[in-house]
Amino acid sequence: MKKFSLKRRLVFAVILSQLLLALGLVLVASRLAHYYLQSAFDVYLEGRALTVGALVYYPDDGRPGLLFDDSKIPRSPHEIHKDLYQVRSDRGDFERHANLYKPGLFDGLPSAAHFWDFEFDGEPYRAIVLRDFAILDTEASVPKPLPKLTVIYAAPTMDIGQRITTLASAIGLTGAVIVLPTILLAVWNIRRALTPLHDLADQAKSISVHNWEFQPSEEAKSAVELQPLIGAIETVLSGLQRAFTRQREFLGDAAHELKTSLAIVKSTLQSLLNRPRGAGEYRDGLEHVSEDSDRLEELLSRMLRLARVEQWAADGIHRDLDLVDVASTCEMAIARISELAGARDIHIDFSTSQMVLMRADPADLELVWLNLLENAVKYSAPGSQVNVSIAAASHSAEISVSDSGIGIPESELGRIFERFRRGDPSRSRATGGFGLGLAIAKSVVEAYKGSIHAESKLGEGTRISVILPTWSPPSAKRHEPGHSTSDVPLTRQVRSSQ
Amino acid sequence: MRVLVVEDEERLAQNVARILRENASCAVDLAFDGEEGLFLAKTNPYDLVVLDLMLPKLSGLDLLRRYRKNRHKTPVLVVTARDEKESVVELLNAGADDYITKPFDLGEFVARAKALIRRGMGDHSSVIEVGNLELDTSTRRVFKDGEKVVLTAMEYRVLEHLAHKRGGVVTKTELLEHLYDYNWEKFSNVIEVYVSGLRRKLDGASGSKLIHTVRGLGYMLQAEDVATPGKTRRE
Repeated sequence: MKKFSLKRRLVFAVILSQLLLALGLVLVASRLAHYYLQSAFDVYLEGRALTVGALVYYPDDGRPGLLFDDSKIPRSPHEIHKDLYQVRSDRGDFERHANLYKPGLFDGLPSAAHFWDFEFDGEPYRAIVLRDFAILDTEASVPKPLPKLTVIYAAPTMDIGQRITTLASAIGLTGAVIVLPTILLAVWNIRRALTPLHDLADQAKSISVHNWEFQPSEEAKSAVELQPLIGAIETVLSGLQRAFTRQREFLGDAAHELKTSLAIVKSTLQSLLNRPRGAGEYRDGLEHVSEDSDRLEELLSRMLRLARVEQWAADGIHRDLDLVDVASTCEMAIARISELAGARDIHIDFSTSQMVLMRADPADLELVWLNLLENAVKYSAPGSQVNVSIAAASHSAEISVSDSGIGIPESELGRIFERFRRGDPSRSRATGGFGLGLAIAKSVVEAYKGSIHAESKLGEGTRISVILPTWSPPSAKRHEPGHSTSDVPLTRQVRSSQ
Repeated sequence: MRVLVVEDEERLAQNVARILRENASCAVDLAFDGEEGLFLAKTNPYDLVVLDLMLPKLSGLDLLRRYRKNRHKTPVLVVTARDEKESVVELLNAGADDYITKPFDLGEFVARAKALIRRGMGDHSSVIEVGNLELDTSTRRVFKDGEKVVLTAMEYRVLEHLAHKRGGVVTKTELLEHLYDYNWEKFSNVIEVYVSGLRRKLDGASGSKLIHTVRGLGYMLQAEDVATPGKTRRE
């Protein structure tokens, strides 16, 4: 789109409306003036016509015929373009007119008209027609019925036009004189009104990756129109800043983990090379390197998995997913953790009451349960029990993994889902974790629009519950829960291999 | 020389300890968390503390601050996986003497460690000369009148410590504390054995005396036997 300036647009709008106003004023004023002037003119015409009509009389001496006393005709106000008149009887035996009158002048007179505009001698004229005008001065001797008169009186109207033109140009001129300062005032006001917008723009311009500071001026904040914009910018900024900080922290943490893991491998190799060693020493060293590179590989694969899951969730990619029985993914995860659990003599108890279906990649769900189980098993005392249970509600299911292990201090509870965070750093390396398991679990769960929560009491154990939206058959709304898919509630008990 | 390595990655700690023992003839103590590290550092006379930053229980930076607050002057070499400028500045301000970022080269690490030990002892060069004796601490070789003297590892360590403290009295306990890790008490009577071995190899037939016994106090390395100070003091 072409660039434009708000200020210019506003100024243009103001000028346009001012000009329209002035024009409207001129038009209305001249229309009104025309109306009033013509009304007055019509009254003048009527008066003159009545006067002319009144000058027709019967002679005193009883002679037949009508007389007209044109000496008493009022003078025309205009010297050059004089008034015209004609008076005639309806019997056709009497007709008088002004000296200037030319025969046929009033022939075009419309039969019904009261007033008539025409042109005479190059000037506009207006005429009044009085029909059936009774002769005022009558004698008793004159035989009835008396004839009726038709009086036509016309006068030039150019004075009206002139006056209207004068008035319109006076108004127009005044308007023009007023419009100029008004425009200047408007421009100044517009500029002043747009200052908060300019301030806001300047503020927004200064924001960068290195400067998250966004402090709009008080004026901008007080502007009702700008408040939603400021709010939106602030929300976006704080979100971005959080994401950016998280990203940077993740990079820093990832780099730290990778560097440390690499440092171990490198130091082992360099110390092996430091001087000639025996075959046993070389073997030990190589075994160490092999173990440590396995760990490095695992770390990398977890980091990549986390990044992949987060990317997938962030992009909102729709995947064609089949229905999965959540319980079976739990069983798979339990089977995979059984070796570790067995080694630590930990029992895993699994209970579910009914089939829970949802659209998911079974590998994703399995990964979540595996990560939760890994934590539960690692932080539990040997011989204790870890419980996995599924509780289904109408449109969601709660899957929980609880242990009776060492627990997590309350101060740490809110942060355990952050990456590279371990409940207590002192046991981190000993348990071989990276602090990525719960972060991965959270990302996957959130990618499926679920939620994850942790409750814990120090020394008593931890319970992590995942709530996932489940699939319900479209036709089964009215059915009793549990009857839609199977009549017999499923009960499974799985125990880890010892 | 006795070094404390505070590092929670056990394997890395072992590798660092091994190279310090092998290439710098150091006695090395290990601590795997911050609290243990601080305790050891406060209770033993180390010549160098190697400190990781990300430690369980007590962070490396906190350890360092508390250590310096107690007026310990032992040089501290920080091992870190973070090399952002701010954290480096913070470290040095907190009292670190040097830092090295992971993953590091063990050769460079040993060189830095030795340089710090040397400076902690007040020496600026890796070669120490005492009379006709020349000690190259970087290659751990000893020359007398330009000729190489072959010493055992322990003999060298005793001599190096005496050389760093040349002209001053070094007690037997001090030697033991700096030459062995925390179970040094077992070795209390071996110092005499090393010292007599050193005397035999260094003084030899020339008659000139380098290692002097300060009776009741300890030993001293000095070029000429211009009336042993210990004796003067006593008489």
